[in-house]
Amino acid sequence: MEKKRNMAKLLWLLMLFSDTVPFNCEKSMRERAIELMQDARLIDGHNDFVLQLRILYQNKISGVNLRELNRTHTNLVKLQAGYVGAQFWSVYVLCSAQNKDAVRLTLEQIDVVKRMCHSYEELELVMTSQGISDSRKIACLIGIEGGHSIDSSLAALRMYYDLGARYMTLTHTCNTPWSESSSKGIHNFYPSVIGLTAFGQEVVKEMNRLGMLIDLSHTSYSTVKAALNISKAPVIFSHSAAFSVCNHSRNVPDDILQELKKNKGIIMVSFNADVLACGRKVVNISTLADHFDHIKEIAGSESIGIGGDYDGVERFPEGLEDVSKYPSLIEELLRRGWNETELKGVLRENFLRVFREVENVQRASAPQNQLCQASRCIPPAVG
Amino acid sequence: MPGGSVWVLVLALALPSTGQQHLQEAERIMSTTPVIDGHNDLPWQLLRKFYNQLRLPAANLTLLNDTHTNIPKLRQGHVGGQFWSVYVPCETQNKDAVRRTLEQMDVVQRMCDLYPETFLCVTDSSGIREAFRTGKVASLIGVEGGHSIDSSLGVLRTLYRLGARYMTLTHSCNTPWADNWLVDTNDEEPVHHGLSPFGKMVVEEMNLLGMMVDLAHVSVDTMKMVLNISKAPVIFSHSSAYSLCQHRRNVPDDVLRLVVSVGHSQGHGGLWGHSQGHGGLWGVPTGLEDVSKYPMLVAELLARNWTEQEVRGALAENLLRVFSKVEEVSVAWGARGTGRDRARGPVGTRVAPGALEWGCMGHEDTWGSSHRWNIGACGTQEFVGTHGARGCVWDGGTGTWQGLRAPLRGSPRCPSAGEEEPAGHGSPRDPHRLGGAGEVVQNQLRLLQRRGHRPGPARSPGTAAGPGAAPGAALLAPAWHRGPGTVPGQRGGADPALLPAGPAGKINP
Repeated sequence: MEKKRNMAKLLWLLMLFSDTVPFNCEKSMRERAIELMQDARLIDGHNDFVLQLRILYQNKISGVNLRELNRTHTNLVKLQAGYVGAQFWSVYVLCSAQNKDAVRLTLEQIDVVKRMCHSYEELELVMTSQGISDSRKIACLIGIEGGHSIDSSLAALRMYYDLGARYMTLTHTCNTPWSESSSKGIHNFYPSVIGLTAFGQEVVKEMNRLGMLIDLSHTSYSTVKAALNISKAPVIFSHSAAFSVCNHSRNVPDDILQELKKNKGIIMVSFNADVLACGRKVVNISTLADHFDHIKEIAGSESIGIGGDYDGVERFPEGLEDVSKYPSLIEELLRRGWNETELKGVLRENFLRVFREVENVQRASAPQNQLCQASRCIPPAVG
Repeated sequence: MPGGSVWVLVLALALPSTGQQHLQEAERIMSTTPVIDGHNDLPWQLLRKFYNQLRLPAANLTLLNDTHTNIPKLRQGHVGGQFWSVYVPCETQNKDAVRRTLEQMDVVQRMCDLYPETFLCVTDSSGIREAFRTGKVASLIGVEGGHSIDSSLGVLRTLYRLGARYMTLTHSCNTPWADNWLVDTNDEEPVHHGLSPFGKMVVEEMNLLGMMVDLAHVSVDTMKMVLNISKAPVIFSHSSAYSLCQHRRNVPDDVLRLVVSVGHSQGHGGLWGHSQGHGGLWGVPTGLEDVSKYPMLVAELLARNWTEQEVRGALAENLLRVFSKVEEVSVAWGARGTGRDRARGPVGTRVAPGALEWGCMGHEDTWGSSHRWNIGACGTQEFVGTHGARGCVWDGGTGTWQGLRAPLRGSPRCPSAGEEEPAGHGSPRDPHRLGGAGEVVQNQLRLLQRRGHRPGPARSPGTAAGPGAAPGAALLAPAWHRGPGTVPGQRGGADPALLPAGPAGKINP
């Protein structure tokens, strides 16, 4: 009898302790997250650090220590602490430069990325999926944010590709003469454009042919539908979240998520608190993880990636204030039961799949006898 | 006795004439040392005639017969290397010069893609030699006019990365940092008397990059200043001798001496190669009507007792020597690798803090008439649909694109002479004018805009109703049809509209 009562007391004590002294389980979650990320470093879809370099330093970076810069969400030390293995640097220029000097400004931003990536041995500019896979450093890629950067010129688009741009977000917060943005009333450009015009369709086709990823963040519902219809290659959302969880115009509704799954594309989830939390005061890692859970339910974990949007917006969830904090998100997802394969997919494998397929479409577009010149020819897939 | 003169006559008929001999000699020499020509404006002709749509049947470079240049003529003329000019008119300065330059560079690349058995696009002296070996025409890019960089060293570096290997510092217009040849006539007043401080930075950056500095079209003061400061040899891609012909596009003797004395070249007759500026001229010398006639010039030089070595120098070796030296200088200055993706170098003194929005770039007014060719108003899109976006409509009657917008000069967005520029809005083209007060406010505005908020009162020019608003939308995307024979997947990708006499469709309102 006494034994049984002691046993019961022991059990009670253990239960109490297991609630108040959780160190065993939680620590291993964190450790697991870090081990996972060491093995599968993050490919992040969108970061506006380069815009900050323009605002803060007028692109004069030779005197600036980008490793320890503390005025931005991003610096090289933090990227390493966050286990970032590849970063798309956005070469965004303001919508108000549309029809003005958007082209020149875009070239200048591309120039900054190149100078940055060549000046630091932690960084390495790459232009292919193989380049990302092979890199032991932080691979740098270039993403154009807004079709206004091409000034309605397919030649400019091709030149950007030659310079290394590997995605283009079809609009930012302004319509172009050929595509519609999800933002209304911020700018007054081309208000009657709906979705993609005929030229917009040509832009999408040319991007398929070149092997440039089509990014549909910031674009309107009609634009997304049109692009998904025409594109022969999988598409991406470089920094967006789930409309069902927060009905912000920047987010992706469920029907599109389903089409994205069929398209085998990817939504790289944004960390922008404003699009995550719909006015709620408390925005934390759990808020973000809710988006991940929802998208997984609708489109499958293979459709998910990460696009933090650091240095492009001001408010981030508690616990995710800068680019060193990515492991905390992975930890939370582990806690919610995501397995390692799914998480490796989210971290990098899903994006690499998309990028490889885009490159396949590029290869298939080139006639057999075409001489490969400059960077427009991707060598045959290895393995 | 008639016998002697008969013999002379027979001999004269039987033996090749001296002229013939020289020509044969020229052909012999050129079969192993083809000519590298410094300047050809075929890309401009392709723009004028075909809006860069290279896959139009009429644009077939093997068959083209109303330009100085086509493929058979290049072959006949023993052209082994060609710098293709990616000229854009001076009227595009401060407007869409940069985009237009990219479009011209794109057409050169597409030429190489479409005719791979003829053209080999290369970017260095060893590439040229490789082309010689394989019997192709080495194709390089020369930017003609500093207005193409829009006073931005970032753009200069980027053009280098895209393959530009020389830049003519000015065309026939001043840039904000260099004077052109017209200031040596009575037509214009000098502004910089050579180069401004930023202009010197441009030359220095070109030395660092390994881009040749071309002094055709610049003023004498500019020539002298560059010759003083450049660490690498320079070129004149298409100029002649002032003392022989007093046209201000030509090079005076004192500058020629400077060129020799600072070691920019060596030896007599070795100052520059050939350059006929073909495709950009109204008139060319008799006997040199097109690019097949180079051997005639060489024959004449031989007749004037130029040695074979001197001739080979003029044909190719001098240029190759200069180009190699320019590459060496770039490497010696610490450029990484081949100098192509440089990290260092000055950024420039411009980019006023906070001035992310730039003024006066309105080009939605179409570019109106070039001072040379009165070409009409419309943009240069590969796809005709975008002409609509630029306010152009097809005029079936004249068979041309007609602009609907206001003339070139005086964009409604830009203050014209006499108007004040809006406050806090430093000229982006003035390298000396940096932002001051209001920088913080401007930066905040940037961040707000970045997040998609409506900008605040009056500080941000350019967020007013875009000029493309109602009228632009109305002119979007005329319907088009694909002609037969378009091959999807080639580099000239979207080349669907085989322009017949007129467009196939109407403009959708």
